[in-house]
Amino acid sequence: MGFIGKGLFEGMVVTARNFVGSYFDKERLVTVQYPEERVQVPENSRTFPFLVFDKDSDPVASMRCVACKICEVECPPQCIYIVMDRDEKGKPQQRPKVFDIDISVCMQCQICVEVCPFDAIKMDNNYEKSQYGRFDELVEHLPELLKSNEFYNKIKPTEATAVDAKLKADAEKKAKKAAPAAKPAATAAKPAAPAAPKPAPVAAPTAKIAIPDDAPFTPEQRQWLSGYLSTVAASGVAPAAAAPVAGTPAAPATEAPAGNWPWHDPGLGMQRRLDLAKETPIADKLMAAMAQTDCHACGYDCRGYADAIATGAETDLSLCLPGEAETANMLKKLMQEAGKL
Amino acid sequence: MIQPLTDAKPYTLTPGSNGVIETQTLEVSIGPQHPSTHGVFRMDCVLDGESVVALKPVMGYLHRNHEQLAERMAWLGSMPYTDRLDYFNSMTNNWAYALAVEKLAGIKVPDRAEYIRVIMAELTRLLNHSCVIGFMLQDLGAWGTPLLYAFRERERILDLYEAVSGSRMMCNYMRFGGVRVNLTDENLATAKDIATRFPRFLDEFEKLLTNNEVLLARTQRVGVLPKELAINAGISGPMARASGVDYDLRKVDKYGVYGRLEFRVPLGDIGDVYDRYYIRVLEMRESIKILQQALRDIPQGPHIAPEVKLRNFKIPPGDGYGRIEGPKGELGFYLVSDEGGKQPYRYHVRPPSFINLTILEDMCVGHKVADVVVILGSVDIVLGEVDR
Amino acid sequence: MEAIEKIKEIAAQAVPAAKIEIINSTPAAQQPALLVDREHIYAVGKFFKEDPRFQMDFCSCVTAVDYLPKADKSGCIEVVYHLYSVAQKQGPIVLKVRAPRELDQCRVPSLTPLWRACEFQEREAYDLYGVKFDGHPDLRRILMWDEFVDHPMRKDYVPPPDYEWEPTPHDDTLQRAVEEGGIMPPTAREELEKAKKK
Ligand code: SF4
Ligand code: SF4
Repeated sequence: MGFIGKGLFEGMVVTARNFVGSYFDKERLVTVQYPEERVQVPENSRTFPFLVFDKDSDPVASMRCVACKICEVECPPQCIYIVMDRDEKGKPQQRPKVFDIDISVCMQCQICVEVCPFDAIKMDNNYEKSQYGRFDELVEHLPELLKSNEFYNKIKPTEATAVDAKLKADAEKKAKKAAPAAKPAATAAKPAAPAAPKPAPVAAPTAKIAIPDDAPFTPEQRQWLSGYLSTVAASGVAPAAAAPVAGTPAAPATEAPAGNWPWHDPGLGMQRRLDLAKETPIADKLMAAMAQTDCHACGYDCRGYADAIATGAETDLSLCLPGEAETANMLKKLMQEAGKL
Repeated sequence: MIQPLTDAKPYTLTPGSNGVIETQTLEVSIGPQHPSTHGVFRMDCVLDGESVVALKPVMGYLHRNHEQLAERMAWLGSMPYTDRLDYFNSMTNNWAYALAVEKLAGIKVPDRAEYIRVIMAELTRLLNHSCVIGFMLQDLGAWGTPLLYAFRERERILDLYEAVSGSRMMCNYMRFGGVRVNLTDENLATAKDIATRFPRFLDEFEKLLTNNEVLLARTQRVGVLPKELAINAGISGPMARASGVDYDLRKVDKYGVYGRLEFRVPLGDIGDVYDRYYIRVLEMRESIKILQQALRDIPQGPHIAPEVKLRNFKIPPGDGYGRIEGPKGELGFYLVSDEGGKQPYRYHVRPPSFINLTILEDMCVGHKVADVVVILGSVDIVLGEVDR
Repeated sequence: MEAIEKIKEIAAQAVPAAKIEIINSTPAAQQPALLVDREHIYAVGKFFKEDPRFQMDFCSCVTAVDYLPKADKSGCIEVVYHLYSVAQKQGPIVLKVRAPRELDQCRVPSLTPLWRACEFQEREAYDLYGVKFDGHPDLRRILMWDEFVDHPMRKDYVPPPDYEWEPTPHDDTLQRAVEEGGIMPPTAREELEKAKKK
């Protein structure tokens, strides 16, 4: 113990040291004169979400978002609002027409980013978003939300590179899967082949049978199918091997490589898809009623969800978010028709 | 007509029949808009002169029914909302919720994630305790000095949080079965740097405060909380330990990897405001020790249990209670899941600062009204958590 | 600590009149609870607090849960106490007590005389669930304001309409806001009127 007031005196020394030190020591002077000076935000820093598109020439067409609505459902404060784009005929376009984020409600939690299976939504790090009003001014619409992949790469280089690599690998895998898929189909005659869309031309013994351009096949499949049907038609023999397979539920569809179901094409309308799956077992019909985005909103892919419903493992028929009420109603109808409900 | 001052009659006190001047008690409402209440909190005090006769805390100004919000969304959806409970310590809130859910669902957390959680929690303890001391001294009239020194140190920790989780205060960092992003070597180096620097700051802080005569005069023997009452009233955290209650969940429950780390639990003996100040300083020193060990031992490996699904996460029916030692005390989550299990059927937060307020009246009665703010400051409340 | 069956036995011996039942938690959590009838919850609580084998001196968490009536069972409000022992560093013993959901019958004895920790938490349960704790020294609302009439955490509570226009939930909230005269920017109101006419 020293004299009375020693503690006070020592404290004064500390403050004095800090005061003087703040002129020389970077450690003791931590304030920044915003907005003249700015600190660099770390790469991970997040504020509000934006939507990524790939091609500068056509942001709307090249945006990654497929309007699967997973983020809309999962967003904790429910600040996302999505309407799927449809053409005049009401066919879903796999992209949002309306995509609103109310940034006065958004709490910057990044959950939408985490749940998006398509890497379509990412977090921005722009923190200067003040506006003069608190209603419409704070709702961000599609045009403001769309930002290019370059921009994403600029603000978050590490993360964006990883995402790009992943997307590229996915695309390659898909391409590779699609390529060999055509070959085994030739020998095993997968349900895909016989269920070709109304192959009316079979009757006409023309040398070459053209597959309609909008038919849901990859180029390889189309080529094979065209050749197959042509030979069948030329020889005058009905595709004997194929016909029974189509009707038998023996071949569990899960074995078929992904993307080999003719209806597994999100570009087709519901009616068209169901027509394609008309002759197939219930699981396939159910699958045809899904939105075909493989978005995992239901917790499965389209195939898995259909199988789960068919086997009774899943009883909730309203899980297909992108399919909206249309799919839910159709699932119900199909199940009723099959006598399972 | 206004009387000129000189003409005003001098005010005289007339003693009553028994020769004593009769006085009245005065009811004073401190808050809700009062800087020393740390938010929107009110204390209805009955004063006899300057001394407190009775005091009733009034809360709920920030009530947003956090629990009901959580009962309306999926399990994961409430994680970002826990950040907003005790907005100083979002990391520990996240941990408490994740721990409760993991307990219910029986999820095993990988080692590295456990170490990351310990690192984050101890950093949170450092920033919370240093700022609380700052705030308490602010209430004492030390103005901003200690608080801003604390904030300067907190800044480094928040920078690390931002670099790791993306946000400075609303981290939303933990996930069921681990943490959202792995720590890079760079982050670990920053954490190490903080751990080595912090003792220096603490030394300086202590020099400024621990022996300061004004602080001693204002805090010693003020707001004494006896040990028995502390236990009976469910007081937890540094407040209970300042009263000598040897109860630290890191030691008792040994959740996470605290069982493998070596540290001591400092205890006070009187339980006055000064003890509560000093216990926090000592706890910070222990936290630094824990940090250093965790940073030394952190293994490589996955940062999240791979089997845990982000969406469509389900918990079998039943209930459970998970708790951790937050910087403010025992932070617990009582969760009930029913059939379906996609969202909590019941989600209850046991907020430490809410329950620590139970004995505010007992501590304040008999003291001067000026001491009330100091006592409240030493309780360490955050209204986001008290009101939920 | 002993297995839950043993604890139940001991408690039943100490308070012979009490009806005690074991309720299991989720399989992983392993925190089975003792459901005690309303008349004897105080005695059972007191026993656990004072018995040297348990010494449950720390009541950590008190809360209520609202179970709506289902096809096979009637509803109830369940009050849950989590007890720990600071002296022996053990726990938890979870005590549950059930009361009918009807507001006038929804009463349970207060454990505040045993543990001060219950004081605010029981007030909270009263405020949010409408459970009346007999013997509580100061049973008032704590989080909601005094004039509030309902108990908002009950599962059948219907919140009053939120008049403030928020663009987010779009259509129906917007619709309601128009019908009930909420706050909203004029443009939105016009647009909505237009859409309605169409
Ligand atoms: S989750 Fe679906 S709707 Fe949301 S951004 Fe991603 S793709 Fe679009
Ligand atoms: S960041 Fe969170 S709150 Fe904001 S839009 Fe995404 S999910 Fe919703």
